[in-house]
Amino acid sequence: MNAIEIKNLSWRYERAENYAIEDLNLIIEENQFIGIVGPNEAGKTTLASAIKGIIPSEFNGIYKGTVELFGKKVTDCSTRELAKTVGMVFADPDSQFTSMSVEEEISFGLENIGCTVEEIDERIKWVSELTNIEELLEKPPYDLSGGQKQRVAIASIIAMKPRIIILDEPTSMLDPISKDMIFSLLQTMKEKLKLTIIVIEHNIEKLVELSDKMILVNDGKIEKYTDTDVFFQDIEFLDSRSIRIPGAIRFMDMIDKDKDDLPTVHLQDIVKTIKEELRR
Amino acid sequence: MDQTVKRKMHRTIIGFVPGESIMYKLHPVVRLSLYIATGILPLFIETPEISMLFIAIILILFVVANVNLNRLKIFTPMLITVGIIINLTYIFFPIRKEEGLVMFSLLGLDVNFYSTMWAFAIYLRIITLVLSSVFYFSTNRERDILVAMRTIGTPFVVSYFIGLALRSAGIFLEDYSIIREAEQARGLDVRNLSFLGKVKHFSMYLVPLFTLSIRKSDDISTGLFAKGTELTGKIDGVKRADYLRSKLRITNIDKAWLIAIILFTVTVMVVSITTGLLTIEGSWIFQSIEKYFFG
Repeated sequence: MNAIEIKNLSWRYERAENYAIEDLNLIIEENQFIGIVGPNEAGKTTLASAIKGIIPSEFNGIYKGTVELFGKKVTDCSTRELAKTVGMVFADPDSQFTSMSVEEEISFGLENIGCTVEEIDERIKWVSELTNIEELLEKPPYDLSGGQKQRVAIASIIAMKPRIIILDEPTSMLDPISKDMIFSLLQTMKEKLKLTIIVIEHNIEKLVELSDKMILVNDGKIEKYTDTDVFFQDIEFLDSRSIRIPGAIRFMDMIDKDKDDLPTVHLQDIVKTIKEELRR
Repeated sequence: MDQTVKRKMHRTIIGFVPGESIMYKLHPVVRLSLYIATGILPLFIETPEISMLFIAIILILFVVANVNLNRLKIFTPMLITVGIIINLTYIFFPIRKEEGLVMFSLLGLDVNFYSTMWAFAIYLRIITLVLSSVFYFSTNRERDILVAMRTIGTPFVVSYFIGLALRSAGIFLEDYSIIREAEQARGLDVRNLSFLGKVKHFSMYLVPLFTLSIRKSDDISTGLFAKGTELTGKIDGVKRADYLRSKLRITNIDKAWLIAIILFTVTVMVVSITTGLLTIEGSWIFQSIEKYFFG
């Protein structure tokens, strides 16, 4: 089943001269891990906001086309329905922390979607174990590091059990160790939860390891949407779009340039290939 | 138990609360009622010695509740300033009642007996109010305040807005400390500035702080939408669950404390209104000083 189906979507922010996204079409199947990359101001966040329904609900502008989630238009969904279907984690962990303790932060979203106290209790236990934040439940937001806040933000979204989770540059404001923790959490989410996960990230090296498919957004359009290995077939094209290609993939591209096979993109496969080559 | 665990403190927006305290055994609504009682009662007590007894009781509560008394040091300049202002006010604007009862003259100004006693009684009331406020905010985290408010029937929307306001205050303070650290990193030492310089400098902080606040309030609004927030106490016609309140239930002991606090407060109020027991004229200190100066 298609989780997301976008048809001819265009959006122009009020007072902006150009469309942030224009005539965009996209189909994302259920339970896939999708990586979205692209240069700054390309329209990635606008695309994510349109899927979440933040556009057109929270912003003024010109909206054309349709976005459907599991066959229902976002514009026909109530705020609560949208929260139950799509969860979104933003780049700034502070902007999504609206309560005075971690436990309250998680329970708040669950109260919003109509969970009972027993359900909330159960889900808090489940999600805090999954995201490894059991020790933080009592803490207020100003007692947490950026990485901890982002883990809490993700936990509070997972607890709502949406069918789609969008993470918009979840590691952009974090230190390297916190970034690794977030990616390891994404790995856990991919393995343990049946979810459609969409991650907008500049850290392509990590994203490649998790993504089933990758999308390149540029100038308000989708320029490439393929399986992850196919995505890196034309490195020159990605370079021309200012996409930072991971060193290992670039290296493999250089040594395998004459081959017609799909490029090797996952680190483990690259290591395996190189070892085999060295043995020969 | 390990000493380090015992001494552990939890941060709040305005300071710290102890990691462990006997106060936590009480439901937040009992703590709130105690705060309200200690805030209202001084208004019905004129007698200085009873006010002083009240202050002593609050200080004992600080110790019992494991609150660090050193915290009170930061309020000392404020209490001294308030004391000076109140006394000067009553010296310059004496109350009519005691005209003629001049204790002594200071720099050509008459220091009246009745005004001085009133200044003292009011000062003690203010100290009581300050101490009870410090005590309340030193033994209650923000979530306790919200739970207490919801328990006494504050509508969800109101308590939620108060919660958001507290959260915004936290964000504001965090941003303020980031800006200050950034300035210090570039070599600015505010300690070297004159008082006027400090005031001027602080006003310079306000522009970036308010700009940041406006931007963040936009982000928070989007964040709330993303979480399906609808400002109503009902979901599909059913009262929304209140997880925090469900975790902190009122026990029979809490009820007993509530009744005791309410009864005590009402009793003191009735005694104050119907008898002269708590008036300033009934004070032993008042009578002794009057006797000393005027025979």
